[in-house]
Amino acid sequence: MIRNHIKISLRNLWKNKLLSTLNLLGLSIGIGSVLTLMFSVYAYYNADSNVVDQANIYYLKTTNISGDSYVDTPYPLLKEISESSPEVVAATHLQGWGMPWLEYGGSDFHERVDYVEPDFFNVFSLPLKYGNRETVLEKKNSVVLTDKVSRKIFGEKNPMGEIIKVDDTLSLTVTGVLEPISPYSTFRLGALASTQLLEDYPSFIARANWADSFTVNYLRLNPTTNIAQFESHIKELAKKNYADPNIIASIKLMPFADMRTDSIPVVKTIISGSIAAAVFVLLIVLINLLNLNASTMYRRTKDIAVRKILGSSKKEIITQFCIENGILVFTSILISALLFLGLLLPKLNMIYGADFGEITFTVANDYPVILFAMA
Amino acid sequence: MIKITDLEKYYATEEVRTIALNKLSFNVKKGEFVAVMGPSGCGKSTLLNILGLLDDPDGGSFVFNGIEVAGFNERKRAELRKHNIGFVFQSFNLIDELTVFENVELPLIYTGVKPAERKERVEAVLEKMQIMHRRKHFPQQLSGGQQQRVAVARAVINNPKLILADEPTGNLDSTNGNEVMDLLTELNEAGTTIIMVTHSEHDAKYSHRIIRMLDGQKVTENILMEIS
Repeated sequence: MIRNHIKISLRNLWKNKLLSTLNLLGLSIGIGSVLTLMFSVYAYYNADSNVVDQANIYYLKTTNISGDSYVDTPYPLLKEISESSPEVVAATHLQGWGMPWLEYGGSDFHERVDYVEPDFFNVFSLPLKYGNRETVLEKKNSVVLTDKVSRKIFGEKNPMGEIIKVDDTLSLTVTGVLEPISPYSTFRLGALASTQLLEDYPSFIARANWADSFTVNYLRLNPTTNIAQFESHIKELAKKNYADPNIIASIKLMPFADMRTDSIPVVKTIISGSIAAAVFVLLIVLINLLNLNASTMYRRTKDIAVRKILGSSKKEIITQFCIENGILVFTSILISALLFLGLLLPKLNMIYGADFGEITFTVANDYPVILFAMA
Repeated sequence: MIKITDLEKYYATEEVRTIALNKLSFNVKKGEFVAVMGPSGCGKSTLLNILGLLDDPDGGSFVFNGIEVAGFNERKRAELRKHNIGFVFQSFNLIDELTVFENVELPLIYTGVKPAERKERVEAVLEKMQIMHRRKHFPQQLSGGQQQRVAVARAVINNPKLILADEPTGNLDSTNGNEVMDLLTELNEAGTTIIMVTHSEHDAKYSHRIIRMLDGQKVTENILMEIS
């Protein structure tokens, strides 16, 4: 029976070549677009999935009396909070300071370097490809590279123990390499070095006071922490230490998950826009499919009547139509997958790649998108 | 074999109620060939739909093979239909996407006959209808007469007790029309009961009895040949 259904479906599709082609084209372009949009949304929502126990990770957000909000505080605040609060399990800055030249083997690389406390890997569970997370940033002259930067400088070689020159003056030893991080992640990292190095820079020391808010702080708190009470405690510390305590309206503990949209607000608009566009395109695809099917209804009504007269059940007739549309949709999914991988994803990377980095599609990681497309 | 008593069927809109069958009664014996005649709109097609278990009457009784079938639900009607009734239509109603072989095979698929037996039975009936050499052709590649032979082959493939024919020669020239009527006569002689709706006096003469209808009622009944 199924063979018969498939045979009739294929002959029907072949007989109505123009209609089938229009259907196939509409569906392929539509599903390809939806696939691309949903993939970028999926990539966005899964970008930080390698950071476990996110519910207990917070960053500090300051609002001043004129209503302006920013994710920075004066540099010494974090140390003050850590030393005075048993609720803090681990804490780290994530501090950029210029974009130094890294030199290795006679080649120079201009890469982003962020300075963090050794506790960084106790706050964030980012997996390491090489190195021991407990000791990776213990020494002042250590550096941890992202997989991308490691490949750029050292190729496929294990760079552990190699020396990198920073701005021709400083020598750092590679003590770890991170596993690849999604470009949509909260972290836009290149290399991680110790904040102890920053304290040797006079320009940094000049700013690292209680008057200048320029540093981002992350804290892992005990799950039983009373957030409101803890925020009052931070406010007290600010009042006590800030050069101008009256300028601060509040310092809030914000969930880690909010950081991406807080630091780049346009991301939220892009993601909401992508979801809305995907739903809209899907709706158009469905209406198109219904319209094209309806246009053949008159002729098909005769077929249905004949089949019923010959003894077909309602279920068998529905199965026939489902198989016919199923063949069309499945073929469209295959074409749209080719369209997605060959044209739309490279185009997406071309548009957003410069700002957010390039995303890649792997079946092992991104199979839910395929399942969504099939559903 | 068929006993209908005071059969009624209405078609109603909000304003008008049209009576298609008005307390129609007649019997058909097993092995009989009955022609139903009458002007357009007299209720012939409605009658055929009810006799073919495609539609349910609004009143009266319809006994088929000793079973009261008026009021049967769609599933029961379909079950009874596919094992007992074959249809032949004026416009052949073959499925364009299927070959001659596949069209004739379709009722056997719906009754769950195994592939090997299906092949044997389809080939036998195509041989009998002298259309075996066209088995791989599609309906649009055949003449009207050939298409109607295929439709008759499809109607008899399940060895139905009853064949309902709706103007079976309406779209055929006289030579092809006579061939189809000869085929129906042969089937009837082999024991199949046939009820045929027709406008053609010529075709009606092939039957044993002619029932003439007007406004949903039987007006006359001419017996052409007595059957035992």
